[in-house]
Amino acid sequence: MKEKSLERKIKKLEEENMGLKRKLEEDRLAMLNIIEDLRESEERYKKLFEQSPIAITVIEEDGTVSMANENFAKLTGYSLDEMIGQHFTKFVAEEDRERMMKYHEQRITGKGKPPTRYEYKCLRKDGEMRDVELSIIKLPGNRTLSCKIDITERKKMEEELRKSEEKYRLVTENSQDIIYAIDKNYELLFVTGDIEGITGYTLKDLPDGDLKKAIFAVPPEDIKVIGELSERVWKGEKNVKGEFRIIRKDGKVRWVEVSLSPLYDEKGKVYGNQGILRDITERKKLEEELRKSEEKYRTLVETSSDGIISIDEEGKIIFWNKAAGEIFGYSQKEVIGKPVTMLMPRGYKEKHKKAFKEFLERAEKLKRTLEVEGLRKNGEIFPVEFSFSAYKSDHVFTFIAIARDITERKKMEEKIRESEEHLRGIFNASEEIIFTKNLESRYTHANAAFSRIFKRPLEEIVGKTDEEIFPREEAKMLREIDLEVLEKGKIEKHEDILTVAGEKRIFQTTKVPLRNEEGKVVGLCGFAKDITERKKMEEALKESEEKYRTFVENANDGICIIKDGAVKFANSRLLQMGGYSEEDVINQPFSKFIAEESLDEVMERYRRRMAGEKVESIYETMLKRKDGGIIFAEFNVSIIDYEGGKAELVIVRDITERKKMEEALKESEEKFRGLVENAHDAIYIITPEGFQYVNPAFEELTGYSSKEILSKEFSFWNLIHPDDIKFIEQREKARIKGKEIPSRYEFRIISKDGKVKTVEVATVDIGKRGEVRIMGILRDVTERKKAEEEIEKLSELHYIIGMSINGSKTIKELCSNLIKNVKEIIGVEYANIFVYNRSKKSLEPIAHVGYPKELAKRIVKRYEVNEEQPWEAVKACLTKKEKYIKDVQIYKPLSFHWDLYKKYDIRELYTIPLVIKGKVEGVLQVSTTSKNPLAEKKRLLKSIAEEIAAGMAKIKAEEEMMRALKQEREFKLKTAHYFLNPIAIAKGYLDLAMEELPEEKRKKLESAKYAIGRVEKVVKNVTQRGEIRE
Amino acid sequence: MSKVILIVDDEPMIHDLLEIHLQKAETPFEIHHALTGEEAIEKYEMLINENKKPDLVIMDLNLSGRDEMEVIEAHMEGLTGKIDGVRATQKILKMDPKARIWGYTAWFDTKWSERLKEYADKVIERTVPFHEFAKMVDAFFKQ
Repeated sequence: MKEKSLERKIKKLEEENMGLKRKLEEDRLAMLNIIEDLRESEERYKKLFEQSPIAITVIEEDGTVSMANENFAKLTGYSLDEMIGQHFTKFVAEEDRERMMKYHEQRITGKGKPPTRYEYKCLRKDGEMRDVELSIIKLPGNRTLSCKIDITERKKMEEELRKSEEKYRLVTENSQDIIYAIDKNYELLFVTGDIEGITGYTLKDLPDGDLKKAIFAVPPEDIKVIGELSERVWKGEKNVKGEFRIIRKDGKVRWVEVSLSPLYDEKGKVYGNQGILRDITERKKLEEELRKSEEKYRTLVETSSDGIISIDEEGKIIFWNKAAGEIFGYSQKEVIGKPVTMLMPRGYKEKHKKAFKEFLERAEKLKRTLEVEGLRKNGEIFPVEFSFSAYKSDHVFTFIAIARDITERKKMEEKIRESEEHLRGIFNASEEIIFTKNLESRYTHANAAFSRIFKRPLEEIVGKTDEEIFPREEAKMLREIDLEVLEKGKIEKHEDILTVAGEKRIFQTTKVPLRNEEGKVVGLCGFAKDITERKKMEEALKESEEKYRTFVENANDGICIIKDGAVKFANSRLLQMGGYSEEDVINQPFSKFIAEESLDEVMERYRRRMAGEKVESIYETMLKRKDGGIIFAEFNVSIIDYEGGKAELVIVRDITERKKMEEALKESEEKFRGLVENAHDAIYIITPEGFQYVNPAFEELTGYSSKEILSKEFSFWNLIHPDDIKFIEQREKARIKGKEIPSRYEFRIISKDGKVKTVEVATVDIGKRGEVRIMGILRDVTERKKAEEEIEKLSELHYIIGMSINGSKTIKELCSNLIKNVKEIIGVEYANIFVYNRSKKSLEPIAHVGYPKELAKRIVKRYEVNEEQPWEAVKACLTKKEKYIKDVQIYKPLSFHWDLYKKYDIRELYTIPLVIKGKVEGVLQVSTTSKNPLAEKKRLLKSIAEEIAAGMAKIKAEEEMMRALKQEREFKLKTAHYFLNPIAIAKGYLDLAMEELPEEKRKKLESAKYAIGRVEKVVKNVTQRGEIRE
Repeated sequence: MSKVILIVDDEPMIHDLLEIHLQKAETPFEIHHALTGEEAIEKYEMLINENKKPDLVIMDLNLSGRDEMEVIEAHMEGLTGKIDGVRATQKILKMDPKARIWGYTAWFDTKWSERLKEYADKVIERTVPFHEFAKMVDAFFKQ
């Protein structure tokens, strides 16, 4: 057992030993691995250190370099051996040494915070300086590791860039342009330049700083321009230029020119564009002005009807306008650069060359107008007027020739010359005297007729004045006329009486002013004719004509002559009648002036008369006025011989007025007849023999037909009411005696159907020379009478009601009084008044009259007021409107009283609410029997209902007031009694107190007693009279 | 022989003043007091029993002892259960038809005063001063 356990123990130990060994082996292997890793790592770092593109050094605590790599050697120009063990400042430029030493010390001592990255200047072995960027870390053992990069090149580049940037910045910032760049999204990448100058905006003005808004504040019509420009740039086009307008902050519109170029990224893709904006408004303005000016001149030149040709010093054509082309027949292309001599006919070419050469030699100013000949393309030679000028520009002469084709003018001149010859022929051949005079009134020309008629040779006329030719008086007159013409430029026509060979002769003379081209009067031209014989004849004729004319023109009748159907003559009276002028009438067919309705008749007469038939010479007809009106005329026609033929002489008398009067009379008669026939009043005319006339209203009033009335059997007295006959007879007698009777009075008549009517009559005697002829107007006043009666009744009723109201203390009293009156005065059989009790919503009977007991029992009772109740009174109360039933016996809701209604013959039922200020106070109900129609009484009843309501309201108000007064009095009374006891007590004790005091000391208490006495009086007054007073 | 007087009034000061003045009169008075209607009837009966039947009762109208208007009205209309001057008078007269009763009240000129007049010998206004009243009483007994 022991062994076994031992053995187990050993085995266990062995096993444990084996495990340990295995673990040891594992650890050793792991260690080797770590060592291997470390070695590899070290190797790697070493390589890194040595071969790093960065210069690396390790510096000891004392500042000596303990390690450095190849790159550092390269940087400094020293070999590694030369560097190791040296102080690091050896490789630092003088200016940076102190600073770097300080950093080193701080780093070693741990005081301060030296920068871990900075720049310094490295001093090379060859003395050259290099810019270095250094990054430093502290290693254990107060060593530092620093990595250095040579940044000399970068620095240089930066510097260059900075300088360049500054240059551009200066340029752009001081530019008067705006320089900007935008990306594809039109976001502004960059902007500078004179933004404020161009746009007026500053960054301040744009709250979001979006200068784009300022720069591209473009009027809508120009947005397209920008879009198009941008599009071109995005496609890569360079130096794209365009113009558009922007709106400045102050609202002014400015023109800007933009120059755009694309911006490329590194890959050469366009990512944006840059632009330069320049304000070109002023330039634009100048351009515009220039353009306008140019246009003006160009237009002038192009539209000129004169040919304008420019020639250089060599005589070659350099400019040629349209008109020149038209004159010479060449197009611009054909002549530019060609010698100007091509436009000249042979003879002129040499002459021109000579003159041209001379001019150039003298170099004087040229301004000359010449009439020469020109040569057209088609070989035609034509007269042309040239106006030459020359100007010097850049020491070189340019000639301008303005050519005017004067072919037409020449032709005209020729024509004038011919015409003049022609006129001279006429002048001398004329039978009429023709002459001209100068401003001095001296004859300059005179024709043969002048010489012949005045029997003087021409030499004695031309150069002479009238004074030398005519007697003094005549010459004076002629000169006066001359002066009118010469000074005032008038054309004078007049008749002169001049002495010719001792005989006075009449000349008709016309003098016309002669004017030069400027329109100034330079003389006169006269035409004269001997009209002595003609004048004499005229005179004789005139006298004779005057005589007839005076008669015809002054005639009050129109006179005309008609020949061959046309008017040959019409005097002024006739023209005036028709409103025509002479031109309207003369030689016009006379039928034109006859009114349509008379035309046929007049034409027929004319035809028959001309055919020789005998026709009535005087007849009436109608004429047409120019304004379309009609004249009634009476014609008196006779046949005369006129201008070698038969003609009608018509004397026309205007009878329009007469006709009008007739017409008016007729109209008036019709009017009055209409009035009388249609009058509402009955009108009659009566004579002692009976009625002469009655109008339809009279027939209607009396019921008799006019035939009956006008018959001899009919008497006026038939109509009169028997009671009034006596009264009328008295009136008649009074009238016959010539007494004054009222022209208007009333009486009654009885119509044919027996009705009594009250009429008011107004009469007037229209008889002439003593005969009795009475015209009367009867007015039916029956209705008026009735109305008057009704009014009377009403006023009586009002009086009674008024009395009732004033005499009644209670509503009941009032209603009882009134209802009797309603029955008696208005004449209704049954009446009933209810009072509306507003709080109980019921109608309470208060007074009734006429109802027999058995009916009253059923009808005069309390009614509930609500919508369900069928009663008329309730309905009237609810609707505030009156109710009317024509026949209660057939009215369904009330028909259960049918037997009683029938028994008492009750038919009509009229129910009127009593309303005051819109409130129903009660209901008045009346009913009548079939013998007593209610229709005409309704108005009265309504009026009474109003009065009753008013009376009820009044009494109610009075009662209300009385109650209030009573209450007030009672209140006063009761309160007053309160005071009496305390007053009595106070007085009692005062009396006692006074008795106990000696006489002289009572005074004060006396006063108190007096005061209480006053109060007592007041209180007593209140208790006894209800009045508060002492 | 002194005369027996019963004063009925709900106001003690009235009792006081009336007694002072009545004592001044020539006629000697034996004065008894009642502040309510009930007390007045009781006293009157008691005095009869004592053989001292009052020769005169001086009766006020309002015996409620209160001064609110509604209460007084109710009292006078017999609605409070307390006996007022009119009822007290009626009861005394019922007890003794020969009883002499004078009203002396501030509530004259009222319907209640009118009612009292139907039973009492006379009704004198309270405005009549106490000494005058005392004289009237004195004069009455001297007749």
